[in-house]
Amino acid sequence: MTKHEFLNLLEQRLIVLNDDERADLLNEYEQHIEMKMQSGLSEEEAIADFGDPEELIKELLEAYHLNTDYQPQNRFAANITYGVKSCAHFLSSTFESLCQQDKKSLFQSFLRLCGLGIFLGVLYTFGALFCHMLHSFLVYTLPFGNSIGRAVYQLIELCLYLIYMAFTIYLIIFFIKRYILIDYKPLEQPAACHYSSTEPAFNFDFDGAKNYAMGAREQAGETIARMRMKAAQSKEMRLAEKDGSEKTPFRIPFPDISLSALCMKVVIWCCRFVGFFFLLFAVCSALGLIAGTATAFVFVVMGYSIIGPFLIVLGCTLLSIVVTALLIQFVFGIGGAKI
Amino acid sequence: MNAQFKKGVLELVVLISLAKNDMYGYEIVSEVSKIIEVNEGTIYPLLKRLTNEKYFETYLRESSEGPPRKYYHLTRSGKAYKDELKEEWLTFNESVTKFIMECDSL
Repeated sequence: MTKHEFLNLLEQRLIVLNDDERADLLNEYEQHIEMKMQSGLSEEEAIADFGDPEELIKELLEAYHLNTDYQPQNRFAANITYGVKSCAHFLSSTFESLCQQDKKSLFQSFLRLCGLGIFLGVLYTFGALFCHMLHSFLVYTLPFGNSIGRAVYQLIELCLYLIYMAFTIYLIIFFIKRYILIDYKPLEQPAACHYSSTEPAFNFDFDGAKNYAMGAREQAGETIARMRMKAAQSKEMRLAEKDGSEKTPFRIPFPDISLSALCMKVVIWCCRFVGFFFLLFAVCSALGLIAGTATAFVFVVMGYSIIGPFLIVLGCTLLSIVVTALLIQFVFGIGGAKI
Repeated sequence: MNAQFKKGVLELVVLISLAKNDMYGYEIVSEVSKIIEVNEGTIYPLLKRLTNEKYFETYLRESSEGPPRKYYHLTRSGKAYKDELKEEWLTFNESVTKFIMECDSL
């Protein structure tokens, strides 16, 4: 290996380092090689004395406490992973807590759930009544009542449905947290990948990322240990009550990182797929609007006073072009909106 | 010589060499090579690591034979660390040698 090849290899592999730090390191190696060559060795021999370059690079990265297999994640992916993992964690804690409860408190929770259901049902009935009244109101007061009125009403109805669904989910989660969950500890937030200014040698907060990973693993280990202990305890209690009947402790599937990463990937690809259709729509509208703008411009030049509509069409054209550009970035993953 | 032995003791040898006087990278490598045979490439990561942990300070000094060289200087915490390591090594060495003498007499 020549000196240039060696130094280039180091430069590439140490790209995660600060520019100054990397330059400093390469400088020292170059000086060292030079001095060895001055004392009589050839270039090849001087570099051979360093041993295997890959080993060397690994040791260099370890000196900066860098994980040599690190794949830098961007914030969006990290947040989505965190979201999916905490949902899974919440669900598994719910199952675990349900298993801990005895018959009496389970029955109580069931009664409470029925109460909640009745409350939601009443709310829904009122909502439906309100929608019905709104529908008739819109149909009679708006011009072209049947078509526009129905469209507007359906839009409002959709918003109300979404609000209602969100409210229901929130109530259910609140109910679970209040009456069912025992010892629920939410997962730690992912450590922010901010560039720490006090350490000039580092570009990324790898320590923070490593601590988060270790903390999450520790929590997983703790939770599993606690689950096993409680399962053993409840098994003993049940054995004491009824002789001879044995139940195997409920095995709770615990999410591991690959599952959530997979879910995140699936979600993003679905969004991209949907985005692609929106992209087609945006492209068509952009093209159409451009043609419309051109026509309107021709009319303006010819002296017709349609400056108002012309400006509107122009504005819509620009908007659709911008939307198209954004969608292209999102769907194909180029430019700034990389996901 | 056993690689594990070398790895453990390399840090100690480097610290003791630098305690005598400041040296630059190539000089450190030649000094250490007199004591134990070592892969030259691995000295630099070690120097980097110990510098990052504030046991060394570095400064540039002009040299007559080319570009300025980076010299390493042992800091006070580096000195403390060196003494600690030295104690550990001597104790360790003593107990292992004693054990060998008692149980596996030459």
